[in-house]
Amino acid sequence: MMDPRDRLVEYALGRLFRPDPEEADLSGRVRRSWERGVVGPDLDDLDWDEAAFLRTRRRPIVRAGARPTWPYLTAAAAALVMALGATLWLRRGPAPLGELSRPVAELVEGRWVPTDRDRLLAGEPVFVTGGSPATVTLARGRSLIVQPGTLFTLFPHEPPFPGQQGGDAVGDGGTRVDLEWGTLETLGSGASVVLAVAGSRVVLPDGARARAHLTWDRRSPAPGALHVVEAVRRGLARGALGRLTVEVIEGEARLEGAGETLTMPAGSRQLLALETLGPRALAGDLGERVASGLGDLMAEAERYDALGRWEPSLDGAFVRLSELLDGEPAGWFELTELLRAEFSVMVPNARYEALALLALDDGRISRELARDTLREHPEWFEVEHLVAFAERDGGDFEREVWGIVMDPDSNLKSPWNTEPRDPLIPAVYLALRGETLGVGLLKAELEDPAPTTWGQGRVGDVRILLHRAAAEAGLAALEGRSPVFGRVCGDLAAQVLELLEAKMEPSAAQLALVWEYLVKRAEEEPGPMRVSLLIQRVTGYVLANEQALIDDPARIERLVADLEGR
Amino acid sequence: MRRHQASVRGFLAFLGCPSALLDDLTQDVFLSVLSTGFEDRGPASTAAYLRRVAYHLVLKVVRRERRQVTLADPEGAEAAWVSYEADDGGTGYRLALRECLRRLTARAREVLRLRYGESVQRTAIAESLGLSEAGVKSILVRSRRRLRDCIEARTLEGAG
Repeated sequence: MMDPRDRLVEYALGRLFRPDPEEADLSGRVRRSWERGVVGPDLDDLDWDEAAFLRTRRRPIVRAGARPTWPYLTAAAAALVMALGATLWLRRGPAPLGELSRPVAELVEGRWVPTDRDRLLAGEPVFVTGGSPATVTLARGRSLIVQPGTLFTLFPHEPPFPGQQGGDAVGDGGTRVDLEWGTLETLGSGASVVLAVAGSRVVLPDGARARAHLTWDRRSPAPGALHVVEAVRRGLARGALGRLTVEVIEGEARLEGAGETLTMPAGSRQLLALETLGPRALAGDLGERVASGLGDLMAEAERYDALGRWEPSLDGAFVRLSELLDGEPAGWFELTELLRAEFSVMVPNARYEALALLALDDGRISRELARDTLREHPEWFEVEHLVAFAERDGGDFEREVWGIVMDPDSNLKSPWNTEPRDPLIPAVYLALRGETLGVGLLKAELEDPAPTTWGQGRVGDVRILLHRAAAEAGLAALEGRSPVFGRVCGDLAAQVLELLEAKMEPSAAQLALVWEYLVKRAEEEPGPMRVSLLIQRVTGYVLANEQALIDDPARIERLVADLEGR
Repeated sequence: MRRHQASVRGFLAFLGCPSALLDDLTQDVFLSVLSTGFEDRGPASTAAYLRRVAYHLVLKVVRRERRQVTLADPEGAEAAWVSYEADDGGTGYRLALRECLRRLTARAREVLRLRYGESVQRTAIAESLGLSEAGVKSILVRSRRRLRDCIEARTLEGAG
């Protein structure tokens, strides 16, 4: 890697020998893009092909430095059309909302319960349960069939621009589409109605993914936009159309699947709603059961503290939900949709448990979903998930781990937070796979005496210490070097004493028990151990002995003395 | 934006962003900032923040396009750029560079001009000047190092 100072010399030489022509003022271009709703892409979440496509689409529309007259003429014409449309709308009055063919459901305390059309008409999100579609009869003789499993909201207003239709993302999980007669908003598992838009402003170069066109016409947060992308893909994939490939052929978005071909002409101003049929009805009912299962899981999980939740054997609901998903793999899609939707906000631990399920399951679908989720939202994953995932899914996971290890900016969520992602666990994983880099990273990490990178100063966070201790033990076991335990013991003794001085007896006790277990294991069960298993066993041992140790301060002192003596 | 766009654009170029993408990535930096709820903490912090976002975007470009470009670490790049921009937008650095160039041999200056002024490949430079490619590479490396040391020395003198 070139020294940045050398690179600076290169850059300055370039400027000196080849001065830039006067640089264009981009502020107008950015302002117009912003006003048009072209949101800055989060390149973390976009394929580069898509990002490049966005640029190719953006460039002809707003060209830096150019001052053509046609945009003003077009804007004036558009204003006239809008004024005419608004006049007509005012004369006709707002479009009345429609009727539902049957009751739907709403989410109450983590469960879906039947509700009625009044909720829909009041603008509340509702869920189409059961095995048959619900028909929404809308104003002006329009109707829309909403498949089971769809969570949606109907908004009683006209689109902002007469004749304009576009997809938009809503919050953390859905699609909102302005129709001529109002706004349809699908949320969460609402992938059964797949909405795509073709408009004159959409340019479809060869090789572009049609699914991307849904999201960038109007202002929307990037994560939501990506959710729409996923919803479309999954909606198509699990529908009667089978495994669809979505690609652009000669300027048309062609959606091809088993038995059906649908073509979306480029340049047309029409909304295309792909309604998945058949198997989706099962998925609707399944979605309800998965949501209930997850709700049950949450109810049980509340009985355990943060350390206990990882023990799947403790959770009957965990096992039941796993069995449900084993029997009906399509339920994984429902689970991940719930994970993305507001369900996770309403039930705080849902995401943790759902990811645990994904990480533990050995099926292809859950594996792919877990990998996709990790790629899109690495911040959702706890260390336990990563470890379990790594060990279960070694080959495929490796790329993601490498991405995390090699990219110190992978969690650049806040520009003010430049702290790199802690590579400790990926390093453990790589080390266990025999990667020299992993061993090196692990050693470098463990040279740092305090958990500064992981906890950013939260020294009292015992989970951090547990993981670090387990990682150290993992390295020691991996290398078969008993002297490592001596250093581990010294570090642990110092940390226990530090916690005792800070009057954090429970944390000190937990940490001392970690050491006690590690020594016990080294004596009784020598040899390498899978890190996830080690963490589980350490956790179980601490939980079983914690209170007794707190009640007997002299025992902690003896443990510390023993630690220091090793 | 007018205050910072030249700096952002220059920083992107410094990082190695292809010239064809400079305007687009500069726009993306500001759009990303706008879309993430930017909090103004003063010009210096804002500039640092923009550079951080710019670095991030270039990193993604490099990775996703699988370009064979190695980026400097963010801290190193940031420190180098801050030293370049100082409080005059890089004018002082370029003046120092101009002075330091005079201390090089005529052949080294010609190699540098061809490489960085005309974007001529090393093999072509070697052919036109009757050198080996390794010789051209060596001249480039040594010249850059000499220029760097010279500029830093002048900067230190100026600070003293």
